[in-house]
Amino acid sequence: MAMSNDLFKGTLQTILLNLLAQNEKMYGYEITQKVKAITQGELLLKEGALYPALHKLEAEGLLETSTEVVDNRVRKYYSLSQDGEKEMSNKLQEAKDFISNLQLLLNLKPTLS
Amino acid sequence: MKLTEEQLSEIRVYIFGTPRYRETYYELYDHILNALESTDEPFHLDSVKHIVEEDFGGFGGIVIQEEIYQKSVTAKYNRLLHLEMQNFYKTSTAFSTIVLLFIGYMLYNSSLTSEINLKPMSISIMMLSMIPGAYYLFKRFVIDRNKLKLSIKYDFLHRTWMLGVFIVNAIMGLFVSKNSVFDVSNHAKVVIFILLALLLNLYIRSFIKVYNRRIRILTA
Repeated sequence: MAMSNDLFKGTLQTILLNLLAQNEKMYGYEITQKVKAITQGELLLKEGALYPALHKLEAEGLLETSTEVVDNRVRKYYSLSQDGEKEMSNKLQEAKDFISNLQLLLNLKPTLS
Repeated sequence: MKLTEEQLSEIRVYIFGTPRYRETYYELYDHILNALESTDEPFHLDSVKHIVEEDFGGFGGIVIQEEIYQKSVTAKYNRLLHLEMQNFYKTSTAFSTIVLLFIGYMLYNSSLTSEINLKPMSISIMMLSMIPGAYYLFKRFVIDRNKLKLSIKYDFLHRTWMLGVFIVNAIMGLFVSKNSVFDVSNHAKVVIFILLALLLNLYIRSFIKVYNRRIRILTA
């Protein structure tokens, strides 16, 4: 299933920053496949949401980009900038806090430490 | 599935007209090829249409995404230019500003005691205002040999140098030219020229610095 836009809006940047923190550099399609693989196909990251989010993070200086020619085509890679690394920790903590509160509000069993 | 050169060409023709900037075009093209190469289905242009529709919300979606991207990049470059201009006087280049100020003071002083010819000053200011434009045109048409599509950075650079020329022309038209809107004394005109020279010095240096150090990195 594709995650609903409303749920994604608040977490997409955190997901992207976290993925890029775990991988030195990634390109757009690779990110969508990584999300699909991690969630075993349960969540589909749509490109219509992915690229605007990546571009926004790039414009905010949280991501750096580089290009490489792969198989005779230009591929754009995204990686975390120094500011991005700092922001990632903040956003990750925010997300954890939010999920904890959500668990309390929705009476879900806690699964996160 | 490995695509043939003919199939690649078909894809390029199909998507070429939509993205305005090369950054978007390259990203879209790479994405489509990655998606196609990950399947075992035989190639058909309908598969490309499906990817464009399904993943990007059609060509309309791509155009909207590109507009958002262009706006955020332009806003970022504008911030960088303003930051560079603000930091300018903190750097070692402040020496050139002091020299300019001194020359300006000497010119103003001599204008108080003798008649001063404003034409060379006027021409110099106009020429100075053209420097960012000349720099931009040189980089875009001489250095950058990629004529496939416009880079997203040129939009910002083009607007910025045009704005500089517009502001200088507006000030000249309002206060300095023969048929200016406001009638000001020659002494005041000298002061306007000195202020314009100082501002242009700041603007030109910041423009070139932002281009060389920041924009190239951002759009690498």
